[in-house]
Amino acid sequence: MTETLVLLSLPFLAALAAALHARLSAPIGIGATALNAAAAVLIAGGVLREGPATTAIGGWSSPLGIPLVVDGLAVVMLLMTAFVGLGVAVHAMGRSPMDAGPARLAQTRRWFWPLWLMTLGAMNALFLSGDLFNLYVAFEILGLTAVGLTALSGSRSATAAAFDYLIAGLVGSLMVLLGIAIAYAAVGQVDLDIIPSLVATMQGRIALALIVAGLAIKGALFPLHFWMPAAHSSAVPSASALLSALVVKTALYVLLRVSLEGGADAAPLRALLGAAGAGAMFWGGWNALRAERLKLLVAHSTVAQIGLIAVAIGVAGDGMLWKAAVLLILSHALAKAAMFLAAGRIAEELGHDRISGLNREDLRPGAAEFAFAIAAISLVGLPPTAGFIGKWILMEGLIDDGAWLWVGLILIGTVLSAAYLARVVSRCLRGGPHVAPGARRPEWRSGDAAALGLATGALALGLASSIPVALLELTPA
Amino acid sequence: MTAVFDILLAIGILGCAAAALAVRERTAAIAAFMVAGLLVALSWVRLGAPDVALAEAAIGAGLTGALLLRSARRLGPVRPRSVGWPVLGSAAILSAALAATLAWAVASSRGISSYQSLVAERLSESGVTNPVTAVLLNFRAWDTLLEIAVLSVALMLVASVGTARIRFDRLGEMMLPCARIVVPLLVLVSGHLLWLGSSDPGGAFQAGAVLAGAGLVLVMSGHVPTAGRAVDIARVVGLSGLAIFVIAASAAQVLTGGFLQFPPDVAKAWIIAIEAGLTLSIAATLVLLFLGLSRHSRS
Amino acid sequence: MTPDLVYLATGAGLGALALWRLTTSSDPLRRVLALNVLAVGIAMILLAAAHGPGGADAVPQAFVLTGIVVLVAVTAALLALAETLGPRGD
Repeated sequence: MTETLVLLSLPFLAALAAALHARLSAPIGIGATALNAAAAVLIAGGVLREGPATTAIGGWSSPLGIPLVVDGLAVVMLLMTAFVGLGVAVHAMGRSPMDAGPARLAQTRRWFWPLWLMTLGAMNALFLSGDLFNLYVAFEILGLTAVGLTALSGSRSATAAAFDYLIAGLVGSLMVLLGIAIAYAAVGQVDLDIIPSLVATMQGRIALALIVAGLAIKGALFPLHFWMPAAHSSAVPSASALLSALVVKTALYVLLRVSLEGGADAAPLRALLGAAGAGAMFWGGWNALRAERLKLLVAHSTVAQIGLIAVAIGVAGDGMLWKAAVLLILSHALAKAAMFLAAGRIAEELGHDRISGLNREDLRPGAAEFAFAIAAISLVGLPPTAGFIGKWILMEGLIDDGAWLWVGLILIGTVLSAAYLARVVSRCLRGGPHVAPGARRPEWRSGDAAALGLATGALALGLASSIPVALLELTPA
Repeated sequence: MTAVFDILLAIGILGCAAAALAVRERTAAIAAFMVAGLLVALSWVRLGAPDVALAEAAIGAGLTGALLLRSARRLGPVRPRSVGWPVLGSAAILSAALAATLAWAVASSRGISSYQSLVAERLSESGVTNPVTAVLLNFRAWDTLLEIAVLSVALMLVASVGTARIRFDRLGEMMLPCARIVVPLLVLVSGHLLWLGSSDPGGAFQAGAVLAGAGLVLVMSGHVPTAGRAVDIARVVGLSGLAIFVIAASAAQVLTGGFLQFPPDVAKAWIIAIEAGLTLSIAATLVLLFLGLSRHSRS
Repeated sequence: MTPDLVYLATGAGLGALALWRLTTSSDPLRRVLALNVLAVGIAMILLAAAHGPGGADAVPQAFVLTGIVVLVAVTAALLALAETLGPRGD
């Protein structure tokens, strides 16, 4: 239980300390993020040894109180947040100017840590919660921290994107809240266990539809992703990495929970997720192909990848294919965080992030370009990355079911992602005759280490995918 | 007779809300919004929810209205944009259809609350006798803790965005003597609401909102500076609410073995202590959210 | 007509008004106003559903109280961002 205590209270206390103590905020932030990762590992060990457990917060059992559900799926998400967060924290600790002018820089650095730590606390709370209203409150914290992170760069475009993000997020939250109100009217309580009874009545299905639509806005699921490319591409790199790799996953996680809890009766919901996901793969892929700026390409690629994850949740049925969706969530988290950090470093070295200008003669490819390439391999799903394992389990299951339409759609989506990522990778890693003999190498920064570390993580997770799979076995469905 | 009253009140609420959304002149729209909020508070008393009605009147109508008025001055008038009648009409039909569906879904639902009997059954173990306070500070204290976290994040966000600090025109001669009466009165009301909260309608949120009102009167009458140490102290007080709540939750785990599980025989003392801290913190947070924090405030 | 039904209809009406404004205006302040009206409408629906012959259920009341506080925090954040951006077209 001590680990849960750390996960639920340490990030909040550290965030307050970092907010009040500007000068110590970086050490406080990195220390708390590291401790949080240790607690996440311990709690995972506990679940592996003793199996999943549910405790009643304050001793008040559900539905009156709020249940704290520590199972395999929750623990996998906690680990993802802890370690991707740690990687981004290492990047933020470094001296790299975070895409901001000098006057703005102090403000950016001052508030990054409190906002990240509040994000971490809210995500821990969200993954462990077994109550719909409690999830809503956790989402509200996340909505505000995410907007704060978006606005950190202080630029006008980032502030405008942050305002639109907050409006979209609030609309999503209010839809979830309205869904909770109708769910309360329909079945008289609002813990997560009511989902099967919601599916059974028309009123319950309306409630569920509202909740799912609200989550789709928050998770940037096509066609409700309109707010996202601007927000993710105008933020500072470490903020973009957190938003794209972690924050949108919270909504996907709750969608997955709802689909799992709903069982066989939630099939229409899954059909909807599959259709939206297929649309997202093509819309995101098409826009990434046409993007002129690197960060925008990476942001549109998130739209497409979220689509793939939604397809995986959608086609999983009530069988075991949903584990493929979780592996895809994990691999996207690692790879996308690496990619945004690498894109930030590339833009910093070049002074711009136009894709057409990535061809250059006087600068050799550095660690950031290398990290970007590894992350791209994982996103496309080549062996031995985690993305490959996820896609492999998914495709195998689909072929066994004879679902050739989905197999075809996913293959086309994969080709699209390979095409748009190749636009960057082919330019970045050019060597030989294209590079002048006296070309300089980019300087080594801690941001490079973070990007490389996360990208290597995506690679290594493919080799060690038995760990998350073993944890996911411990999810009562 | 009461049905007539309910229907008249409903018409008043909808009329004021429609005015708030349709009128182009900002101050009039916000005034209509605030009146609608007060009428809504009245309707919630009719629905047997006086705690929530108090909060809506103080926070939903009062403070939100003040925030909106502040922004209206800075944003200037609405720039007219012509929206065609077909768009307005189809939006109206769609919105009405959606709302009607939702109203049907609730009206035709036969769900029986699982909470009502559970709250009644276990109220005596909670340490307080007001069921809403028992839910907020004990049965579902984790929701409330996260809600305080939302307030803290809003404070951080507003500080990081750094809106220009608000400047007040000197208020008239009558303001000072008026403040001398109003502020102590508000502080008394706030303390009373806090104390009452354990048994009657009231509690930390209502008390905090009233105290914030007192703070705003002090600021507007020039008694409290809006820069320097005063703001630093207010920020510490504002953020202290979450700290107090999290520390209490953790201390409870050390004492009883359960997160947020207060020792049963002294639960009332825990709840009142937490609420007292929250009242001050909520008041400071709301005042700071209203003032905005300058980009160049000392860090 | 019981008060529950009258106020349930009022809540739905507030929601309809807010949705209509939200979809037809892009003025930042008016959208914030519309979202606040929407939230009040949702709270009204929840309280109407919580009101029964045995009095009002305490848990949904706590939900609404939490919602009010969350909303004022989000509104303050929205307005701070809107003011930083300055006037934008409707």
